[in-house]
Amino acid sequence: MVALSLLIWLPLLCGALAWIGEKYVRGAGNWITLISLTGLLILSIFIGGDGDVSLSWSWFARFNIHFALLYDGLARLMVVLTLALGILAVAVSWQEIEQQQGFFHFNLMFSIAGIIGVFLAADLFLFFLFWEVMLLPMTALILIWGHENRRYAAIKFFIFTQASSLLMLVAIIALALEHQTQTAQLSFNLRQLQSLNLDSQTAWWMMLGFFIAFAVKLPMVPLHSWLPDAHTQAPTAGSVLLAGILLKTGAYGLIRIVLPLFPEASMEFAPIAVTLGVLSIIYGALMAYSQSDFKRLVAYSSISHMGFVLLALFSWREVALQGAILTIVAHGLSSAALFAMAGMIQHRIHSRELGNMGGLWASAPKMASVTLIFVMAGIGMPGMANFNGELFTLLGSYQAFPIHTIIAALGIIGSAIYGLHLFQRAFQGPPDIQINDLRKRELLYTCLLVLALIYFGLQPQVILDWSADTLNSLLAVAKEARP
Amino acid sequence: MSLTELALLWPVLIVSAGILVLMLQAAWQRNNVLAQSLAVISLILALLALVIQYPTGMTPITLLFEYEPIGAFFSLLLLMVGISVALLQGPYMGKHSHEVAEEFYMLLLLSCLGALLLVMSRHVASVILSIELMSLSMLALLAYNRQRKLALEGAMKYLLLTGTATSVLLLGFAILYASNGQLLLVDMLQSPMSLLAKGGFVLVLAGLAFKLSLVPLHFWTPDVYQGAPVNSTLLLTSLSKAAVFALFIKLILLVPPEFEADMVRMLSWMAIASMLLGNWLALQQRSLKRLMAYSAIAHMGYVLVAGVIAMGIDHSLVLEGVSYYLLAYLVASILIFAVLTLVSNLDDQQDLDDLPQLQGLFWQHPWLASIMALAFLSLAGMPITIGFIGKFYLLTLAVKLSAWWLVAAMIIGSAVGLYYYLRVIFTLFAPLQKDIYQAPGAYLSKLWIGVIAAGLLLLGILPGLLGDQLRGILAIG
Repeated sequence: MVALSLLIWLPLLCGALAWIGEKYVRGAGNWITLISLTGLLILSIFIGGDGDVSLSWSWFARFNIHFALLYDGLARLMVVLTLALGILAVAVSWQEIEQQQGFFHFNLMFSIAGIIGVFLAADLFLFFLFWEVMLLPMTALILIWGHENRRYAAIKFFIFTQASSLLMLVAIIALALEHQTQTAQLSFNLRQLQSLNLDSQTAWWMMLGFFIAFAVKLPMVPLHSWLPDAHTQAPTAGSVLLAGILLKTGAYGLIRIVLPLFPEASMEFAPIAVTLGVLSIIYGALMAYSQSDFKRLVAYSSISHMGFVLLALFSWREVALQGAILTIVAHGLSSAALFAMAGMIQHRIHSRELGNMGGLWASAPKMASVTLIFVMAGIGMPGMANFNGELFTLLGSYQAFPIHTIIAALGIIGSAIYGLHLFQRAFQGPPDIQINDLRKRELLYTCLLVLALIYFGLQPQVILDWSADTLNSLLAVAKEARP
Repeated sequence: MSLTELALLWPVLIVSAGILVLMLQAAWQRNNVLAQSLAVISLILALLALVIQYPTGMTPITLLFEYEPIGAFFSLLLLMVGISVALLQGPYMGKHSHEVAEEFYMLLLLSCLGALLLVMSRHVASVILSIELMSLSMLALLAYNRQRKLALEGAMKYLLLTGTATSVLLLGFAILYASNGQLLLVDMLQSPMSLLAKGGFVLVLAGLAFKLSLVPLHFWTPDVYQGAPVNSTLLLTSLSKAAVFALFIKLILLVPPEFEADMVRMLSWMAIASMLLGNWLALQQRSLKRLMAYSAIAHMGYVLVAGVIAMGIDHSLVLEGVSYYLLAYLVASILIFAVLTLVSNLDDQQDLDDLPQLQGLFWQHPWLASIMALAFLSLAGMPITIGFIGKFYLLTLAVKLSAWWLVAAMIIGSAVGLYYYLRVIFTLFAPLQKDIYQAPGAYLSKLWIGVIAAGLLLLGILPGLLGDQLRGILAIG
């Protein structure tokens, strides 16, 4: 269906339009981006309305590469999340961007197009292409509109992700050539590659190539060091997209590629991956506690939360996989929300240091209560979306890795400590400075976020329904692989 | 020589005619614009002639030359380079330069002629003659602004070293001739090869590796690149590399089986060393021309990977990979040097070459900066640029042969390379410090650059456009 490819072209087109529009009318970029993202959101829900949609055009016949897209439940979930957070990113940067607004919106839309491409690609070559392309505008966002140390952060971000994805490229090529030796035809198609019989050694190396690329994005300790810098230095919109979506592309890659293509190898690898996941949970929590920078703290908490996803995915249990999906969505919303709050505070007091805050509750009660809700969501309070994700993850993984899960559960205590620590230092205590409370625009989108977090907390079934097919096929693969 | 054979030489004849006309023009009346148009027109006519009678198979033209598809494809690339340099020289010199213009175009055409003949050569004599024709006329171009000390120094270095390299090449051919009495390239490497013949062949390759600036024969590159006027650097980094590599790969494909293992070992080390050292040394460069010199070393290392694999398997994919990669490299080099040329002036003591001088180019000249950024991304091998497809070809080849050492060196090299390419791109997007000069007018040159940049994107986004046809174009498989 041709309309499916619109999900990729339209953001690009509207981004260019916003760039041009901003030249003639000041502020046009904001409106064009907002309206087009809303339109795309409706389109994305509408397209997947009746079942899976796919598309395949011949693209590079010499290597049998196709422009193939697949829009199933999981992809739909991720695309909707992307667009929703895209709208949030526009909303938080409504007035924050002071220079080159048009180019800013172009980059924002460009990165959204790339990310949607990653979620839709059904051909590994195409997947790699989008995987790389989405880096460029994101790097530009950090580099041009970032904070004081942006150059270093941008270079680090780019090199970490690019270098690791080269390993993935080699693995992709090796996989396609393996298909050629087995069936006399090159293929990059995900579904065709799934039917390959790989000997365990080859599968292991290829799996590792993919895994490292995804683990860097996720990020997993010890490949995480780009993340605190990139998140801290990025403009608020950049942080929202990074934390909300970009990290999830790593998890998505694991679900889409690593687990179904290399079930045996990844089961064999599971103990290591799970250990690293638990390490990320604990390490992220500890590091978050010791930060004095608002955004850096939230960044480390992301590492901790994504550790849960890694733990869940490699435990290969149904409940855990569901937990992973729930965590992906919940963390996308809650961390993006916290970064939005950080952005607001920074815009008002020109600092991210917790030491420069304190007692903000007195002058900004609305902001304080909203932040409190977001922090509670991050901690995993029952009734909020994150709770379901963490609970399911722990419940599912306990069957496979009891000791790891027990240690991982300690991470929740850790998250309570650093979460409350953050809130106390910023909003409670004797009031040091006066700031303006939330404006109407800010109140609107924070309230929507609160509603979303509570809604998905009470109704996780919606998310699970959308992703059920993908998870079921994954479990079927697992049943075959496990003797 | 029959008339049909003569007809096949049309591109070469047109370029030669262009040289004669330019000479007459210089004697009759000096005029920059006229000289430039004559040069561009003769190159475009040669290009058209080549396209019209594009070969489908091998036809020998006398003992010395042959007309075949791979050479013809490289000729297309060479003419593209020639046209770019000719078009850029106008804005680079400006209207009132204190250097004369006609000689530049004449030497440029001579150099192109040498390169065109080199890719058509099938005999030792024609190889030596054309390689010297190309190098010597380039030598004059490297020192085209006589006021620049660095240019003179660079040209002198180039003269001495390229002379040595040619002697080594000649010695190698002489030894090969002594051992089997053949002068045709195809007959020179006959199995079984004696030790003497092997030594001769290694010397030949060393001579060529010097021109390609492969490690360990790369020392001359950065100094010459930096000293030369930037437009001549472009010619050096694209024309001579492409033409010599065409010959290089031709020779490698002729290596008899019993010598393959040794050659693979030797060339693999050269490739790995070039990729790693080139990228490593580029890291700390502030001068863009030096940076491009080291990056050229690294990229020649990448292409050499294909050369190594050529001896293994599947010649068709190797030739496609080499062609695509070299095209990508040439396009990116042309664009980068074109932007540098457009913001520099030949009469100045220095080109705009120091990295901080380019700071904020994007905010002042967005098109130039975007083109330069794209070209650097292409060199770094980012998707949606042609460079990625080139790299994809080479990686596919290397993985196919399970040459994991080469793959590892390519990955490490690329990762290191990212850093310095990115540094340049970031500089372009940094806040503007002071105004940057741009050559006024020159719409035709800018249009041409725009077309090449569009090609860079188009062939990166739709690689099938060329990739699917390449087998047919090169008439292989």
